[in-house]
Amino acid sequence: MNLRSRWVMFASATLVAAACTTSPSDEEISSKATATLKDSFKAAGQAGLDRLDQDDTQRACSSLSGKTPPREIAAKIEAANLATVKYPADGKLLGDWKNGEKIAQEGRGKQFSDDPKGPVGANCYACHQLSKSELSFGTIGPSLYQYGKSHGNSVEVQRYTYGKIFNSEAFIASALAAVRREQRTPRLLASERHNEPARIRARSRRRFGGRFAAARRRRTSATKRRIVL
Amino acid sequence: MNRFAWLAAFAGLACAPLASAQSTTDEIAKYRAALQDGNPAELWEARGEALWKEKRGPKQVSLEACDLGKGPGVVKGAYAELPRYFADADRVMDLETRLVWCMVRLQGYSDADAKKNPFGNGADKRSDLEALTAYVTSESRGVKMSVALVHPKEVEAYRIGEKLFYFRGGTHDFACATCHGENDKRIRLQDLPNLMTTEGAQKAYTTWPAYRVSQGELRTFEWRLYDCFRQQRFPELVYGSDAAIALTTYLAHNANGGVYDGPAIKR
Repeated sequence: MNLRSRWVMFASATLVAAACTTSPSDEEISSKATATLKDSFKAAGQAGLDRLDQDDTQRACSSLSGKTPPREIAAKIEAANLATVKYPADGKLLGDWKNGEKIAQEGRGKQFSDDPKGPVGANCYACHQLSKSELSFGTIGPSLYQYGKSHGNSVEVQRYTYGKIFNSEAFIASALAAVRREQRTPRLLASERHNEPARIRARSRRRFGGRFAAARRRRTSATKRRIVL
Repeated sequence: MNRFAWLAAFAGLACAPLASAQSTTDEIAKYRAALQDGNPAELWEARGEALWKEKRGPKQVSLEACDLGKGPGVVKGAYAELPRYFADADRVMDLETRLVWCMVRLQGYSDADAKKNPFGNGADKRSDLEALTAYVTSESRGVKMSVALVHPKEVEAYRIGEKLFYFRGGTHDFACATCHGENDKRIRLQDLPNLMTTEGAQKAYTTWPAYRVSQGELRTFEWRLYDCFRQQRFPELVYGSDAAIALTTYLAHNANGGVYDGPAIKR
């Protein structure tokens, strides 16, 4: 190897090293991504560009790239969001369930293609099972079928549920759910057992032998997976 | 009623909701299988090939000299390596953006004219870009996805695309990851790919464009992103925008190694 080629090698190695040290940091890419978004969308119908402005929760959760937030950050996010929940002045937490079903079914609303005067639904069925009769339900969220039965209907549960619907980040900050799930499962299973009095369980065991017991075990473990507070 | 019949009736009753949910899934699976028999996407591919070879635009030339990344006129396998950096444009481009570029540079269309009709309506309003995209992508069928991140702008597009994938915003607080971050999830009855896994990204990315039966229209990847963002309650994604290309780069690169199998047919 002559001196010239050695020098070229050295120079290229230095260049490569320089290129590596100057590659944009994560923060730089984040701010570039935000700027890219602003240039890549146009206001349409009822959807203005302000919808690309994130609030603190959205910013914090986006930066986690799908990972679980550290406990103390999650707690901060939850507290900030819990403070936004406004409970009804008259204290009435239960409303008209038939109207609730309508709102849960309605998928339209807020899209740039939607009539601004048209209905704005909650589209719950997109992600959750709710009533038994609706088979077209999504599975991104936990099943809420027999929610009252599995969670109880005390004032505390009603207040929790109202707040959860009002602002879901008030109780689950991103993937913190997994931690909570671990803690809550035993209690929920206890309340589930409570729903099925021992004498009925004993009777079905007597009548149907092991087959139904096995089916129930399967059902129980499926329920365990489904229920996430 | 004897005891056995009573028991059978009871068992039937107990199983009814489960059985009907099961049969719904089965019926959908059957429907999807039936769709694979004949794919109307071929009509778009044929029209696209004719458009590719036809002398068009103010300059009356064909697109046959268009460089899709593997040299002027090379269509075979080009889509499996897109998006990529193009020195002549000094920009990372996806297929659709590159087609617009060639229509402007080679055929003399204005940028606005070239992309004035990116998506057809399934009836009288047909999109030349959809047809051209169908033709070019069909020429990569059976080719392994191989999107390189070599040029700094390719790396940057990928990294921005990743950020956009996790960007939560809009009235409903949705990010791409909200629906595409877990295995075996669905919206209503529609299965969702988990785009955070290699298998999920490969399965999803290699089957776009696709003929959408429910719309009677061939849909491209730009359309897929556009309509996802509409449902995310975001404003309107601009065709050929940097965000569209960055997200496409992210997903296409994640699908590397998967065998391209489009245009496909979907619900």
